Amino acid sequence: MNEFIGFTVSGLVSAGLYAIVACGLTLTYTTTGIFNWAHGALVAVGAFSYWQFAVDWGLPTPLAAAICLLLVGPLMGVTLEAVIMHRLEGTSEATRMVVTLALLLGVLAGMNWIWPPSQQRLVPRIAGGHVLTVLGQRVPYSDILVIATGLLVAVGLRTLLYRTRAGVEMRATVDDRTLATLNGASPSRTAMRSWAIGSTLAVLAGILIAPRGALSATTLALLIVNAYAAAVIGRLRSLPMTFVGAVILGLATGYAQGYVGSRQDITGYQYLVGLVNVLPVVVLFVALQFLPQSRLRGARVLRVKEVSSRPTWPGTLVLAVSVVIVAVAVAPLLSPGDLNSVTKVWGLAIVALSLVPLVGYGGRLSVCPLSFAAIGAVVVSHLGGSGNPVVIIWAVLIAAACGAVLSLTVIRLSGLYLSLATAAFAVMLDNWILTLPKFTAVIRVPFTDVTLYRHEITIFEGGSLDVRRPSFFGVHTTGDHAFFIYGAVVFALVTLVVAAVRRSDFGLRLIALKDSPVGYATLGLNGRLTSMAVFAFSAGLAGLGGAVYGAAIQRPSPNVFSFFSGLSILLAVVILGVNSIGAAAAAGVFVGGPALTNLFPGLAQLSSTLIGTAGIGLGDNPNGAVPAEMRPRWRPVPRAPVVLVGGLAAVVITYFLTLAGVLGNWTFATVLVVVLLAMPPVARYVAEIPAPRPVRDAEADGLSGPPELLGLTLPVTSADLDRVSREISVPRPRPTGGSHGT
Amino acid sequence: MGLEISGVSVRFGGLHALDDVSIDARGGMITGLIGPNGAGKTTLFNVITGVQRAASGRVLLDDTRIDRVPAHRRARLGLGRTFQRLELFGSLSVRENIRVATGALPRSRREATVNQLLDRVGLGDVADERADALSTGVGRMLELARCLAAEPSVLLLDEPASGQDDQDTARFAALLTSLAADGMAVLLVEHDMELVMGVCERVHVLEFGRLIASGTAEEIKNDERVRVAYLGEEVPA
Repeated sequence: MNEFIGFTVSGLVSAGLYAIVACGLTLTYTTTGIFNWAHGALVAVGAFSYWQFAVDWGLPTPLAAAICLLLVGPLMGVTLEAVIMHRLEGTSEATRMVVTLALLLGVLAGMNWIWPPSQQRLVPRIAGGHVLTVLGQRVPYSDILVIATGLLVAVGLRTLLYRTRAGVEMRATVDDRTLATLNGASPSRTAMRSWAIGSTLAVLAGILIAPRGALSATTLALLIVNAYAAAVIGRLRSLPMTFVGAVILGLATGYAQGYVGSRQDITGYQYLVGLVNVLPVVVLFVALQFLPQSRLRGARVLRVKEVSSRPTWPGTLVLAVSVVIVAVAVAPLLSPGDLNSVTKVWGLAIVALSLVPLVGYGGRLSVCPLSFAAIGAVVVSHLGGSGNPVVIIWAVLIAAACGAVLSLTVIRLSGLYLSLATAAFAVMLDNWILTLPKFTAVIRVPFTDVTLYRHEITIFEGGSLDVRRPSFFGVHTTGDHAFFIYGAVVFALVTLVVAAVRRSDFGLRLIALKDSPVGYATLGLNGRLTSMAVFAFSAGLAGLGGAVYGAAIQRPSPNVFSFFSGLSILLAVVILGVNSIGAAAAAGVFVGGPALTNLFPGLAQLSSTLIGTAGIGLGDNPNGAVPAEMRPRWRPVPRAPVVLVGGLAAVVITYFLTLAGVLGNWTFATVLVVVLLAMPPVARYVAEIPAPRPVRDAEADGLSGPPELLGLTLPVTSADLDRVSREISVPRPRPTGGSHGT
Repeated sequence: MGLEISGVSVRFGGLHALDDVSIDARGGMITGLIGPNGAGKTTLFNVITGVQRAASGRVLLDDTRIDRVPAHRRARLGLGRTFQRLELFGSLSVRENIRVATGALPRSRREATVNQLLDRVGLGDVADERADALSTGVGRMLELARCLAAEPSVLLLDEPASGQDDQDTARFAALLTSLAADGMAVLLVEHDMELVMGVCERVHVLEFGRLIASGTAEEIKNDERVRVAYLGEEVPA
C-alpha cells in the first residue's frame, strides 16, 4: 500500500509539472492562435536562469525565484511578442509552426553557447529536506509545492480567462481581432499579456523542475513534449480538461515508472523500459486519434501566396548535372578528413528533398523526416552486409510501407495536429523503438502451433549500425572519393524523380488538395488516398536518404537520426524554400557540410543557431530564400551570356590552378564566392535590368498595403487598381492620358 | 433519373438548419432552389455532396442511395458542384485546375477535354493565369468548367451568377440551357430571380430550413408564402 501511495505522489508531482506547462501552452494558443513549439525551451531557460541566480551567483532562493518569475519570464514573453510573434499575424498555420520550431532550435543552440552542456549543473531542493507524512508516506515539501502550484495555475488561469475583463479581451481578440478592436480591445496589448503570462508559467515550471536532476537543455525541452499530451486532451482549449489530462498523464507515468521502470526483474523489462519513458508521447499519439473529426476544409483566403513554380526539364537537368559535376570537381580538392565528413551531405540532401513533395506540394507538415531515414539505414545495415545495392530498393520500399502505415493513423489530422502526431512518432522511435534489444517476431495460426513467419529482428543492437557502402557491377564505393560522387549521382537522380512528380497529374493533385480539400473531394478525388500516397513516397525517399546517409557515416548511432536533427533539416529546407528542389540540395550542404564548423571550430552551435535565427524571420518571407531571393537575383544571368561565360571561365581556370597546386583551396573558395556574388549585379548591369524586389507579404496579398489606408496614408498603385477591378468584376478603364488620381 | 432528396434534416445544436426537406432535380431539366439568406440552401448542397452529414433523410442519385457514401465517391457517381465561396485551387493555373478534375477520364482524353472546356466556358485567354488572380466572375466560370470536366450527371450550382455582369449572366444562362439539353440535371441556387425564373422549369423554395413551396416558375412567382418570405408582404387574412 505504501508503495502505491508513493507512486501516486510521484505521479501527482509529474501531473503538477505537466499542468503548469500544458496550461501555459494552452493559454498562449487560445489567446494568440500560435502553438509555441518552443515552450519547452522556455522552460529550460527558466531552469537554467534559476540555477544561474541561485547556485552560480549564490543569491538567496526566494530572491532568485522572484527575479526569474518577475523579470526573466515576463521580459522573455514581451520580447518574443515584440520581436517575433507579432510578425506572424496573417501568416499560414504552417509558417507559424515553423517559426516556433525554429525558435525552439535557436533557443537550445543559444543555451548551449551560454551554458555549455559539458558542465554538470545541480540545483538544491526548495525547502531543503523538510517532509510531511501523508498516509504513512514521507512527502517532501517541494513535491507538495509542485502539486499545489499545478492546481493553482489551472484554477487561476481559468478564472483569468472567464472571470476578468482582461481574459475576455484575450479570448475575444483571437475570435475576431477586428471586432475586438472596434469594441475597445487592444490586440497588441492582449498578445503581449498572453506571452508574458505564458513565458512566466514556463519559467515557473523550469524552477520547479530544476532540482529534480542534472540540468540539460535538450532533455528539458524534450521532456516538455510530454506535456503536450495533456494540452491535447484539453483539445488545446479547455483548461480544466488540460488539468485532468495532466493528472491522468502524471499518474500513468508514476505507476508505470514505479511498477515497471524500476524493476529489472520483471519479464520483458528490457523491452518495456523504453515504452515507460515514452508513455506520455504514446498518450499524445492516442489522444490525437480521438480528436473530433473535422469537416472537409475549404480554401482559405490566402494572405500569403506560396510560389510553387513547376520545375522545367532543362532547369532540373542543369541542376542534376551540375550537382554531379561539382561533386566530381570538388572531391580531389578536399583533404581526406574533409572528404570523409562531407560524404554525408548527399544523404541529408535526399532527406531534405523528401520533404519537398510532402510539405511543399502537399502542405502536410511532418516533423519526422529522419525517422524514416533511420528505417532506411537499419534495412541496408541488416540486409546489405556485403554491399549489395539491391537492398537500397528494400530500404525505399520498407520505409515507404512504414510511411503508409503512419499515414493511416494520422490520415484525418492536418496542420498542427498532424505535426504533433509526427513529433510523437519521432520521439517514440528515438527513445523506444531504436533502442530495443534483439527480438524475434513470430506469426502463428491462432490456436495451433503452426508458425507462418519467424524472424529475428535487430535494430541498433543497443549501439551503432554497421552500414556497408554498395558496389555496382564491380565498381566499389567504399572509398570516400567514390562514395561522395555516388551520393551526388543518387541525389541527382532523385531530383529528376521529384521534378517528374511535380510535373505529373499526381503533383497537380497534391497542390490541389493543399489548396482546397473540399474542392478536391467534390471532384471525385480521394484526398485520403492522395495523402497516403505522398506520405509513402516521401518516406521512401527519406529511407533512401537514410541508406545513403548511414553508408556515409558507416557506423551511425541512433542519435544521428534524432528528432532534433530531423528538425534542423526540416527548418533548413523550409527556410530555403520548401517548394524548391534546389533548396533541398542547399539544405543538405548547409546541415551536413563541415564548412561552418571548419571556419569557426569554437562555435559548434553555429549552424543550429543560424537555422534557428533564419527560421524565426520566416514570418517576413514565407516563400523561402531560394524562390524569393536567389532565383529573382540570378534570373538576369542567362540573359547576359558574356557574364555567364566569363564567370564560369574564371571559376574553371582557378579550379585547374588549384588542382595543379598553383593556388590554395582558400584562394579557390574566395574566387568562387566573389564570382557568385558578382555575377547577378554585373549581369543586371550588362542586360540593363532593374534590381529585383523580394516578394513580401503585402505584395503577395495583392495590395501594396492595408486596404483602409490606401489613398489615405499610402499611395494607390496601378497594381492596386487592377486588383480592386478584378475583385469587383469591373473592367478597369484604360487611362486617357492623365495620371491616376488617388 | 436525377437527384432525389427526401426527409433531410440537419441540426446545429438547437437550430434546425434543415427540417424534413424533400426535393428533386430531374435529368434534362434546370431546377431552381431559392430562399432568403440562412434558409439552408448551402447546407442542403453540403448534405447532398457529403461535405456534411444529415441527422436523417435519404439522398438518391439516379435511384441509388448515396447518403452513406463519402464525398469523393458521390462525385464519381456523377454528382458535380460549385461553391458559393469559390473553392479554386489558387496556386494552380486555370488549365491545371481543369486538368486536376479530369482524373477519372482515360489519360488520352484529358488534354482534349481541358481544351474543349476552356473554349466552352470562354477561358482560353486566361488559361495560364493563376486561379487566385481571377476575378470572382471568371473564377465562377472556372469552377463550372472544372466541375464539367468530371462529366457529372447532376450539377449543383451555388450562386453561380454572383460577381458576373449582365452579359456574362446571359452567356451563363445559355450554357446552363445547353447542359440541360444534353440530359444533365441542374439544381441551381441563385439570388438573381431573373435568371432563376428565366431558365428553371421547376423551383423549390426554402425558408428557415423548411420547404415552403415547389412548382413551376410561374406558380412560385404567384405564391403568397414566397412573396412573404422574400418581400415581407403580409398574407391577406
